[in-house]
Amino acid sequence: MTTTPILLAEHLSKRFDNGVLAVDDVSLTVHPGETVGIVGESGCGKSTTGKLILRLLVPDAGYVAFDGKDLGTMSGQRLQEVRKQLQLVPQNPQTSLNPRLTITEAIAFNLRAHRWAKKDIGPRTAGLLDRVGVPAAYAHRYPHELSGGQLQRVAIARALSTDPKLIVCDEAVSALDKSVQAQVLNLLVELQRDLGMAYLFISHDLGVVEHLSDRVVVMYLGRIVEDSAAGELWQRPAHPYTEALFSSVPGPGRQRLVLTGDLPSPTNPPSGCGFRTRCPMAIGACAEARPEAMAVAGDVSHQAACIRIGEGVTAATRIGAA
Amino acid sequence: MSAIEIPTGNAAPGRGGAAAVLVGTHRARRHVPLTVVIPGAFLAIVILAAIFAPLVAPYGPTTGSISQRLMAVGSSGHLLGTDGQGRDILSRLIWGARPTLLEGIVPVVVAGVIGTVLGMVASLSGRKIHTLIMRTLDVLYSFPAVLLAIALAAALGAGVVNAIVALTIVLVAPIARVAETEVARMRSADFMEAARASGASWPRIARRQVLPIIAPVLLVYCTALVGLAIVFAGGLSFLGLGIAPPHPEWGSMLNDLDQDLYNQPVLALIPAAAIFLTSVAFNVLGDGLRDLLDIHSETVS
Amino acid sequence: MTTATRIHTPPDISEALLEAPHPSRFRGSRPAPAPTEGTLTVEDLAVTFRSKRKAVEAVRGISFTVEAGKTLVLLGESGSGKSVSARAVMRLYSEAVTITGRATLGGVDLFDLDERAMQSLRGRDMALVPQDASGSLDPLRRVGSQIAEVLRRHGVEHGRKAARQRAADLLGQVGIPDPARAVRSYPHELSGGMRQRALIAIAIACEPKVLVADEPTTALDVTIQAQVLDLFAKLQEDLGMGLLLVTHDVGVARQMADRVAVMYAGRLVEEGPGTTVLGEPAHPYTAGLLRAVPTPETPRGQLQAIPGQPPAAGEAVDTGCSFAPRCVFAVEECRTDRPDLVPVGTAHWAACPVVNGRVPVEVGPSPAGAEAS
Repeated sequence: MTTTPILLAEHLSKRFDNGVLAVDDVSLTVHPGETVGIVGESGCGKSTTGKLILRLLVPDAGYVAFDGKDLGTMSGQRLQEVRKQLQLVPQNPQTSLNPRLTITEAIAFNLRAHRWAKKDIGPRTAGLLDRVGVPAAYAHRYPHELSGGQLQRVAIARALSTDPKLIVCDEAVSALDKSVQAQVLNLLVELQRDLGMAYLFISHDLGVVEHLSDRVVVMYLGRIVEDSAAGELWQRPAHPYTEALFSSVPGPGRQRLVLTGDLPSPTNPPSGCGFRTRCPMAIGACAEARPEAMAVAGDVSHQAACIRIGEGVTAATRIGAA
Repeated sequence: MSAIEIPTGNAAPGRGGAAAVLVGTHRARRHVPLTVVIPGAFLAIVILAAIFAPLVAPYGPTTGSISQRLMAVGSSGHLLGTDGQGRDILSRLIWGARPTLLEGIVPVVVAGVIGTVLGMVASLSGRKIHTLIMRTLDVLYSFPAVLLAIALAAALGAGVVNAIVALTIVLVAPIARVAETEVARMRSADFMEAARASGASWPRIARRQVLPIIAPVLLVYCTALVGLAIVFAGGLSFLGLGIAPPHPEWGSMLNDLDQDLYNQPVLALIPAAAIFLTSVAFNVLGDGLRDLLDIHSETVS
Repeated sequence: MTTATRIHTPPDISEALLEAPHPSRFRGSRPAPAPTEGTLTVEDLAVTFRSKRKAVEAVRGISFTVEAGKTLVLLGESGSGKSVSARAVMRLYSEAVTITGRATLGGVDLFDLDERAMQSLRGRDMALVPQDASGSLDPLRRVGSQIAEVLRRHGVEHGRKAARQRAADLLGQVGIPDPARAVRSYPHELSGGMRQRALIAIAIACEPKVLVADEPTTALDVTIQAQVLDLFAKLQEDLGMGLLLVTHDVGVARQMADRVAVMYAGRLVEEGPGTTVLGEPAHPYTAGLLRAVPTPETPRGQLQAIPGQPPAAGEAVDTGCSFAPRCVFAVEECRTDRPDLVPVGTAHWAACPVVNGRVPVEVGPSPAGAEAS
């Protein structure tokens, strides 16, 4: 990991007008060609983080550097140059494509925005549709004439059109049926292998994130609670929230750590650690200061923001689960 | 007169919150409803007659003799009778369609372009520009439309061009409002976010993403507005703020025949009926187009 | 049939079992089953939606039984007809929707009841937990009064005060902290998970014999989903009710099901004990669905997807097997003859003449494996 990161986000924070602190001091790094997953439940700030990185929202604090260049200082022409290499695959393919544009027009829009010559656009869109497996017969159809899986392929083709170096996938497969979801996941992996772009894969689905990611960032209440290589995280989750999240995945009669209560109000988060109100391991000190991320078992590539990880007890061992 | 006000959003059916995404469906091969066919055919006849007035009209618009004044409807040689100066009413009706239609259609087209652009700019730009544009338009909108048209036309002076300018100014505000509302409905749609993320500039997004969505709605609204503009134009020329006499216009014909209302009441109804029918035809056409284009909003789940 | 024989590995079941046809084969010609208290039996249910232009056959003849105290999971993807089936059984559709077949609850024929009788049965003997908690509660009325209304309508509690008190008890029973306050809350003051609990409280208010839950946790986060699923299990234990659980989530099915009925294009393709169907599936579609979910062992990008897309409601091919166009095992016969459900194991049926109980491909273990190691 000595390469320059393609994406470096440092200390991003965003509070919305309604007082919700959606993202609170989030930092993450994506290297060229790798997949970083952001996983968390609704309201944890994962989508907002994605929008801050895409500069669809302007952060209150912190900065985003893409390929070594600070996005915050850019506007107009230069921002457009960056956006060519930083694309988005949104969640709902039914609504993320303009209902009055054919799928070819939707992709062509992206190309025209980046000043492709008119004569090159036709062959390019046809090639992209072929690449993502959308039959040429659909090229001039409107979104409502295609199924969800096909539309998401179109959305991927649109993102690919400008040869990006990083694609932010915001819940990109969540709206799809499982049998179709698998096709799209395979396509994403295949495209990455062939074209070498990096993914920032935002999802609430642990199984999907695990399958796709090299590194995984776990968010809770606007903050990163754990950041680790994917395999390591699944074998040794360090933060009690991560553990609870994993054990909440439904399955047959396993010993499970079921959290009590709900997400606290994001307008008025608890003092200290945001998770302490639901944490089975919380102690008095958890309310005092916000826990800093620290290395888990001396491994600097595995960080968790919990003051009790040094003690070597996890929530599961404490309650006697496997 | 206060009964005639310009409705906003007459063509914008359904109330969608910010979450409602306009879904226009282009279904292949649909029935053309009668509400398009009938007014469409009627208006086609009126417009063709106006264009080919020299060929269609039996007499010149200003030729007449006092000896033949106020002949009744159905008289030989004068199908719709003659006016107080002995001029053939049918011929004047056909010639008069020219300025009347011009004053009905041109202001709507011009105001349609200006209003759509203003509405899109207001809706897609920041709060300051939005406030500036919309509050300015509110000032225009706060006057009763008819009164404003009369005041503007009076200030500019009589004449077809001035009447067109006055009506255009009156129509910009309601069209811009409808455009602004329509854009606001789709502003937070997912595909708008995707378009922004693609790196496209605002003008390009407005032209390629927004316009295709709002255009059908505005087309329907503007079609209905033509009907209203024709009534307004009639009103202006009735007051002598339209075309200069002796050239005919439906509103001024109404004024002329008004003086002989007690002798030949039926004659005065003819230009009134022309204004009424044409105006209604545009309104019905607007409704028909809405059905034809299947403009509806639904929340995408 | 040569192809069938090639793949066919006869399952180890007795001849007698092979004789036992699936209930759906009876087509209502057999005498009504002995009325069992609290058992929901559905036979040959078909649901057709008609519009001016076309008729959509959303459900094309399915049969299943929800036994008292047990859970039957209706598993399927969008458009499979699983929700429609559940709602049709509760007669939640208008007259315009054609429903045929038979549904009995404890011997009472649900489709024979007049609307009044059905209304009083709904909520009392059989209750629905819908997916969309925010849309199913009246936003303008306090949660407590909405529960109290159900209680009083079904004559469980008569007094205003007693009903109010019972409402608070119910909210406590479904795990809402501070039920006294929740009773006085408006729906928007509760979180998504709490609203779903409130709906469950309404559904169990009259201690129904059967609870019909239509994707009850789909809108919820996993940690909240875990709470709600546990709650269902606990309530079932306490109240002994049958649960008809509609879901698209294999994990939820795995955790909850006593029996699983897998739907595809409006028909059952497989039905059997939960552990068997989701462990050793007999139908290629079930197997494909299980393999499509990533597991920790799946190499990246090598998910075994089912090709094509599930058909939209009513748009499946209906000559032969609806799954044949996506099925890797399909032979000519699959495209011409509609397969019946045939026994493939103990109380286990599948509608596939080709693999007949043995899908000759390894099926991965549990999905979305996040087992703590």
